[in-house]
Amino acid sequence: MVYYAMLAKTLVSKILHSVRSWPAVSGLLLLVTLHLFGAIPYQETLRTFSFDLYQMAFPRERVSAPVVIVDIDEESLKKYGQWPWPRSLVAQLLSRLLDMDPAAVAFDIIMPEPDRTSPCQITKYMHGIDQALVAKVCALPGNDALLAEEISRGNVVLGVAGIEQGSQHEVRAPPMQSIGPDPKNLMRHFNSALSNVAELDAAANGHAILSADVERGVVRKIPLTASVGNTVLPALSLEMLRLASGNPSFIVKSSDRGIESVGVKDLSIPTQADGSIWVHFSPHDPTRFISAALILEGKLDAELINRKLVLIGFSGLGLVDFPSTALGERVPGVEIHAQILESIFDGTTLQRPEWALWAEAGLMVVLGLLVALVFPRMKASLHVVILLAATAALIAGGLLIFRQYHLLVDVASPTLLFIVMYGATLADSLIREEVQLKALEDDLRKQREQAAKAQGEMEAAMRFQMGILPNASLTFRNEHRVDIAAKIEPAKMVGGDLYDCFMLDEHRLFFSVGDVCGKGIPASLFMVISKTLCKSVAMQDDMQQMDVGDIVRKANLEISRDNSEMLFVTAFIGILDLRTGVLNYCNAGHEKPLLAAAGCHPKELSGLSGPPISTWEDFEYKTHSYRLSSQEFLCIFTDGATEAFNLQQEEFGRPRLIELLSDVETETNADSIIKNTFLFIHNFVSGADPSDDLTMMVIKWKS
Amino acid sequence: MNITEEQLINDVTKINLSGRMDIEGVSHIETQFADMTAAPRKGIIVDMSDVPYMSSIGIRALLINAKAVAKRGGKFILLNPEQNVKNVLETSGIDQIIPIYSDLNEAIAKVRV
Repeated sequence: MVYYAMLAKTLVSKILHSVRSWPAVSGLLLLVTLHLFGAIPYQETLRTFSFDLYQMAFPRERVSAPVVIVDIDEESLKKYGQWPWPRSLVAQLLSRLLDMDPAAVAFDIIMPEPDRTSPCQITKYMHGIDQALVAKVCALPGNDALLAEEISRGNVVLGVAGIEQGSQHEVRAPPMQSIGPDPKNLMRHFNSALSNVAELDAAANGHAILSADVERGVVRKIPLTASVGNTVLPALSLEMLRLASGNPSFIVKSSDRGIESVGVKDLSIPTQADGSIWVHFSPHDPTRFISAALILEGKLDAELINRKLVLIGFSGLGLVDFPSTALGERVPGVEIHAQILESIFDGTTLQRPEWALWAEAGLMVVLGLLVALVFPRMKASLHVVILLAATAALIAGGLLIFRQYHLLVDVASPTLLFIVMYGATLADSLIREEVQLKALEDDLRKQREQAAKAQGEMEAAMRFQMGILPNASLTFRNEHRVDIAAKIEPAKMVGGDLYDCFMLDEHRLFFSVGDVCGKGIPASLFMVISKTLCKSVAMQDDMQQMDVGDIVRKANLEISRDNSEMLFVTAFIGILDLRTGVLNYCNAGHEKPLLAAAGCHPKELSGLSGPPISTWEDFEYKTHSYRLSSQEFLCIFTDGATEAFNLQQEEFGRPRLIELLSDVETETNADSIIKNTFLFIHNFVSGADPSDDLTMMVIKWKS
Repeated sequence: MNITEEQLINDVTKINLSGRMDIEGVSHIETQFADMTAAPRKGIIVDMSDVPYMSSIGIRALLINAKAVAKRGGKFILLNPEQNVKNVLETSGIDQIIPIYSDLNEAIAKVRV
């Protein structure tokens, strides 16, 4: 008990906390309320259709055959004439039947008018007939009298047809015993009725109502008891059973919720609250029918009638309407009465129990909450499985309850609700997802635009950065005293390597190669600053007389100044006197350059002047000197060359570079050496991402 | 990378580095390195014997801390780097601003002055 209380509590708090479920849950509660009040449009149509399907799936099997239909069929009409037959003929038919000792006979025919073919009636139309003959003829019994006589011989039931309008009409009825509150106002009511000729009615000991509920030409329900005016009548089948069982009255049992059952002593048929029952149909069966002609000709085995419940009716077309059954067949109305009798006999009458509405509501609530609260937490693929399984289970359940217990439970409504709610939440999800998707797409588009912008800006930055580097070969094209070339390949779009070369004065070439610690934008910015400051220091008037070490010292001071990021730059800076080939240089923590010459093993320019620029604010950088020969190529590079990695994580290495430079030819030039070296390194790296900027400058003094 | 410290006699702090001094390694230790070289410490010896690789980021890390100590008038020296690391430090001229020693006692003596 506690467990269920807690479960309920969790469920309620779940409902309260899931804001998203609110519309779904309130929609559900509204639908269930409407269901309980029967206020959902077309629900009744759906319901009766599903009940028809139950019947079609499991039509009633005839167990017993207590009923026989004496059919005034085409054959009979051919032999004995068109309807209406003279009542004397009908009397003859009834007489033959009663001779065979049936349990009861009922007429599914109403005879409201006196028979005009009675002998005395006919004399009225005989012109010039002898009055004595008239007297003799009129002394003969009328046809109605003949029929009345037969009717009074046995258990014969005559029926009336209820009419909604019309004035209050008194009809004969058997005594009714009511248990519980007065059922008169609970059952179907007719103001008046179409009844039989009084003479016949008086003779019969059974009186019933013949009406059925016909909805759009289909009979599904029939009142087992109804009132005409102030009189309560039993239905034809019930009245036949009363007479056959010898009971003086019929019983109606009711409660404050409506009529519960009707019947006679020892037989109780559960009904709907208005006293009607759903007809349990079996297929049309011609063996129920016996042609009236056979009986009139006396050609029938009495066994077929003995102790049976006999219905007299029509099957001839044009004489009667053929309503449809729930099985979709069109059958004579009389057969429906027969079917009702059979189902009462077999105990297979149908009922839609009182609790059905509540059970259906319960199912709707359970399924609805499943969709609203549980489904959102589940994978969509699971939804479909559950949907199909639940639908199958519901349908199977409904059919099973119908077949085993003859109860009509509407599973179509909960199933439909389930599907509709699922559809609604699905649609809701899809709409939400669409909105989300659109938002994501917008986001993506924005990001792409930003990336493109950034890319564009990066490209612009690259162009700017490469733009501030001088094109060595071009600038010194006309300087015949020196052959100089330089190239940088940044690892990312913008790099941290730099170089510079310009004429300090008429005869002195200033050049530099640097490598900022790091890559990308910060390094590239620092690169630009360093290069610019270095050049500006070198170009100051009073530097003309100073040596490289001093220039570097001063440049170091300037560059170190605003260096919060603690970046530094290794550099090789030199001044070459083009008159003499004397190179004064300064190596601030940079890779030692190589001197290459044809036919010689490369030499290292070994002087080290100090730590990288901008590591130590106040440092005395040392100047070194070397005299270049006109055969020598001075190759300055950054560690991007020596530390170029291939896919196997091997580095190119200084030895390989030395080996490469040992192969220079006499006729080569600075540009070719650079191109060749880069090609070699590219081949070595082949496929791996460059890890560092690749930089090289080659200078040859031509005397 | 890993970093530990020992307090030696007379306010000398010995910081022991181990692992590759590349971008990833340095990022692991930089905050602790800065804490260990912070005021009021003035005598720092960095034991490099367990560092197999030095990159420019590593150099930068050593420089930052060396500068901070020097600004406060302290002394910062490196002890016993492996040969290839020593080569890198020498090629880049860092040994001219951060002294390198191979003997612990010598290092302690230099740092106390």
